[in-house]
Amino acid sequence: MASDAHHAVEQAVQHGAQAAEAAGHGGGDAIPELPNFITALSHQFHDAPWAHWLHQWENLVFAWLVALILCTVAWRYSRRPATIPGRGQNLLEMLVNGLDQLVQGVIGHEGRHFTPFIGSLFLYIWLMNLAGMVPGLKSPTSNLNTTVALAIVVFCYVQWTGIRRLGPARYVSHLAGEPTDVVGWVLAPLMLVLHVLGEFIKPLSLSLRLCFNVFAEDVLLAVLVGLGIGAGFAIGTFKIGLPFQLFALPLVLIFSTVQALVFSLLSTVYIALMLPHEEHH
Amino acid sequence: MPQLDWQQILSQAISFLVLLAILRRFAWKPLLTMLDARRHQIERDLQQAAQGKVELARLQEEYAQRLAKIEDEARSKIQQAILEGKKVAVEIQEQARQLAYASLEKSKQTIELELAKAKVTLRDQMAEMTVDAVERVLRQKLDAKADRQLIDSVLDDLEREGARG
Repeated sequence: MASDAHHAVEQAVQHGAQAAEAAGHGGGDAIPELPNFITALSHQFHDAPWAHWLHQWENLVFAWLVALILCTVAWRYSRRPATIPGRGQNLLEMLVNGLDQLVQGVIGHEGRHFTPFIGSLFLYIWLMNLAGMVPGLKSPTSNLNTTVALAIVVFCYVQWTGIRRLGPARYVSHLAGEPTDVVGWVLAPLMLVLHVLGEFIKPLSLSLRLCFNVFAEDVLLAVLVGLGIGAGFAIGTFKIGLPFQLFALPLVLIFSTVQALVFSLLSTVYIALMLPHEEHH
Repeated sequence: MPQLDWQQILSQAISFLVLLAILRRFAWKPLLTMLDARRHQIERDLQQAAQGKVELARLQEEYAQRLAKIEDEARSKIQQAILEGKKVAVEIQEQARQLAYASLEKSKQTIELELAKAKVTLRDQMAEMTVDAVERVLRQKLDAKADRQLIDSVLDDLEREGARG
């Protein structure tokens, strides 16, 4: 009895891994990944150059899809904003207002200027994270290229904000720890190196954190789907998978939101740290 | 895990920047402006409502004062009317009393006059009756003038005695 169960589980895992591998990239990659419609297309038309191109740029395609959805929703509900909002506009306003309050809570009244950047960043990352939960889609944020790109944008935006708000001289002084006395000036070169290093580490940590978290979520879903398929094949007469991933979906939903929030909030903090101190105190 | 691909990174960065530009222009700006406008409108409306409340309280107080004043005036007018009514009543009573007194006096005078007339008539009749009686008694005709004097003196005596008695 026990050996039967053990065999069934072993078979299920094997089936799951095979199913995930077959449906995914299938290049002998040990990490299971859920299939999306582009991988399916490229599997079907593996000789066609367009299928190859789509497969190569799938993250960008899914990012564009998310951007298109965002633009459509934004255009639909903010084209003619009504004073008494409808259901869709109300939901969008709730999000916009919440993000505005979040940014202003960190930066202060000056934060309103940065709300569009941070808000767009949050919505974009959030939807990209959630895309992994939709069958046939993929989270572009589970790819390091996407998160590195976003982190570089944040890095450039923060540095540009610093130079614009502080002026070039004060910007360098800020990076050198704003020395005011002899000790400060002596330590300035060291502080400069540390601060510059810190500024580069910030986007690195942002991109790696987001990418690996979302990647782990996708792997978790893929493993559970594979297990479900394996278990379904092993115990059922009907060859369908058991929906094991349903239990993990709420968790993925929460993690996706939290990761988007962490990325946006840290970006806000980096902007706040770069602003002149009298403005955000 | 794929390796870093600078083409992909650049494409993703540009995609985000384009998205940011579109959202900033078509979503964030109108929505934030509208939210601010609504916030200001709500503030203004609340302020107006508060002012309206104060104004209402002031008007209520003013109306209450005016009502109290009107009631006072009405009360004082009623009092005045009552006093005037009483005064008129007293005057009417006085007039009535005077009229009654005058009427009484007139009646008294009339009665006295009638009484005097009656007395005179009675006296004349009595005199005539007395003469007739005396004539019958004496069976003689006396001088009319002498009879009259005699009878008058008798009657005067009788009156005096009656007044004394």
